[in-house]
Amino acid sequence: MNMTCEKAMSLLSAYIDRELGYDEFRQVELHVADCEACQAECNALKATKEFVGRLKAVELPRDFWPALRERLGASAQAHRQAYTRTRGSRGRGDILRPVSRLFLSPLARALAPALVAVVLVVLPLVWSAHRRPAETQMYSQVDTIEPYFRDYIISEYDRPLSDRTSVGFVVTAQAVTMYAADQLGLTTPVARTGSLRNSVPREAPPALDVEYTSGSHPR
Amino acid sequence: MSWSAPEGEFVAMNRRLLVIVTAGFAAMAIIAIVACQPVAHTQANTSARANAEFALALLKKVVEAGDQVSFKATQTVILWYPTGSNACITNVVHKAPNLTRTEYLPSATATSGYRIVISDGQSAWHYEPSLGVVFHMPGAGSRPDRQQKRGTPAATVDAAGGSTMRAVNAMSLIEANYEVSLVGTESLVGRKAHVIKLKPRHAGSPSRRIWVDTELPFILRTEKYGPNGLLSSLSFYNHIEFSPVISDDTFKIQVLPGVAIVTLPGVEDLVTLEELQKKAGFAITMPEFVPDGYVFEGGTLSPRGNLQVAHIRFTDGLNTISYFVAPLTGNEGPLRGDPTIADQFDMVSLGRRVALDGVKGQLANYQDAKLLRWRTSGYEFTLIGEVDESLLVEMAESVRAPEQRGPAKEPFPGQVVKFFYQFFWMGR
Repeated sequence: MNMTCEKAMSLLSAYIDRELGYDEFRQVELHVADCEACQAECNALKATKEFVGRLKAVELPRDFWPALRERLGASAQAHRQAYTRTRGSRGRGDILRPVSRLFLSPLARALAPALVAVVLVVLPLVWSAHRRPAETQMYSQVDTIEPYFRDYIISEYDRPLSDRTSVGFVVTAQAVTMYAADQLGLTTPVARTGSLRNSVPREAPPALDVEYTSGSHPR
Repeated sequence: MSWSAPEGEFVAMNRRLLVIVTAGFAAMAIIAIVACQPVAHTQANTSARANAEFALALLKKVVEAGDQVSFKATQTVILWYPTGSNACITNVVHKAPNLTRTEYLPSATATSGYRIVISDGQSAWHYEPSLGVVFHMPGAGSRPDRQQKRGTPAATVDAAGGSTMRAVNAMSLIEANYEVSLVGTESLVGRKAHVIKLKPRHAGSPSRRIWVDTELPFILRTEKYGPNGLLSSLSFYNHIEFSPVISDDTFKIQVLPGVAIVTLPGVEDLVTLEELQKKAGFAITMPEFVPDGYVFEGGTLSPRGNLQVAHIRFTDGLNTISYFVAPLTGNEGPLRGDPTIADQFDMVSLGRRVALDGVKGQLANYQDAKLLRWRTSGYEFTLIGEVDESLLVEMAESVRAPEQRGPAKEPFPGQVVKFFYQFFWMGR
């Protein structure tokens, strides 16, 4: 591992407290020995730790905790009373009463199922429309260039002095690339836009030891 | 009384004679040099022409022979491109005229695993054991008659795709666009080979060096150089055996159970621009500029789902420039230099924006080729070639924007969805 200043600084406290494993301890040690900034930081941290360590623990008075609890309780009670005063005499039921009256009217009861149905139908459509641009963008990155390059590269087969093995190397790699894209879960979009545009869906697996020759291969 | 010439006069005479003789010799030498100069020049010219003719004749023999030489070999292929390199070692067995078996062996530098490709000249079957897939590629073969037909287009229209037909063939294109010369003779894989250099006559095109066997019409080594002069691909044989006994069983693939068969798009025959226009059913605007030496070779329609993309090919005999025209559907992603899945294979570099004539384009590298893509008037245009990128940009700028094509009309449910989408989401 390459020890950086940032990494060393984050480990300094554990380094001083000897809480690091051997390898990490050695790496920090070597880094601190070489790096002036980290050395200064290490010394400062050591000094702080030593200073804190030298402080005497002060013993709390016996009634400290019961008194604190009592003061906190009194403060909470005062806040509750102030909140009730600001709300006045009007309770929650008073606020919601006209609203519930509106929702419980016969017209609202009749319209509610229709509204739910509309929401259930529209929401997926809107959701799919919302998702479409992002999906299109992703698939376009995957499949827009490859079919074009494929068409271009295959034309090299027609050049009289081209090296077929080199062309085949690129063309077959191209097929694998497109197939890999297809296998990454992009089957439908890839097929839609044409990377494997004329691909035949997986046929029934051939029987064991079936030999396909160029003449007998099923088409 | 005796007469004797004064001694001083005699010396002066001798000196004069010496000067005259020297001047005479010098004049004769100059006359001889001047007289011989055109002869030497002519001889050099004749020698260069003979050299070029010999080299061309060799190449013609190779092209005419096609795949008539049977062999078993181990071949190495190395490709360099801006983002890295790729290499593989292959075992190739070819039985004339059509059967070829190529085994691509896995290696530390190859991004691919072991794969076998069997070709009968009309189709190729590519078995990828690691994926458990056999790819069937109709037309992706090296059928000699097909290559002859395509490599030697019977009728080729002019660069702008006009209707003036003129007969050209691949070799005459090569002769017209490349200075072909014999560089020397070398020994490789236990054989002697003529080294032929093909230097482009027009700036911005790739060049090539080819090693042709001295006894057989067979290429033993190929080096391709980009327009910048850097080596872009190299292929050579580590071992080769000509005319061996080859069993037909060599061209059978033994596949494991459960292997899927995927048929990839076939390679269709090229048609003229008029025919392509008719088949496509949309406007195909041709570039008014094509790099010097390139001519229209033909076009095909490539299906992309329900749509068709017109693929027009230009060639200078050795290389191709592909020009694609596709009507936009409105569902395309943004045109920008985003990485693609092929980045995982270090094949495609990140694209970058280029300013065309009032339109923004995307320029990306793919191996040693460049891709330039732009959109205008409801169409997407793509250019791919190995020529210098400035030539592709010039080509792109010469494509006149076609008449604005309206977006495809959406069906009613689509419009409803669009309304809700805009209502709920666009206001955010």
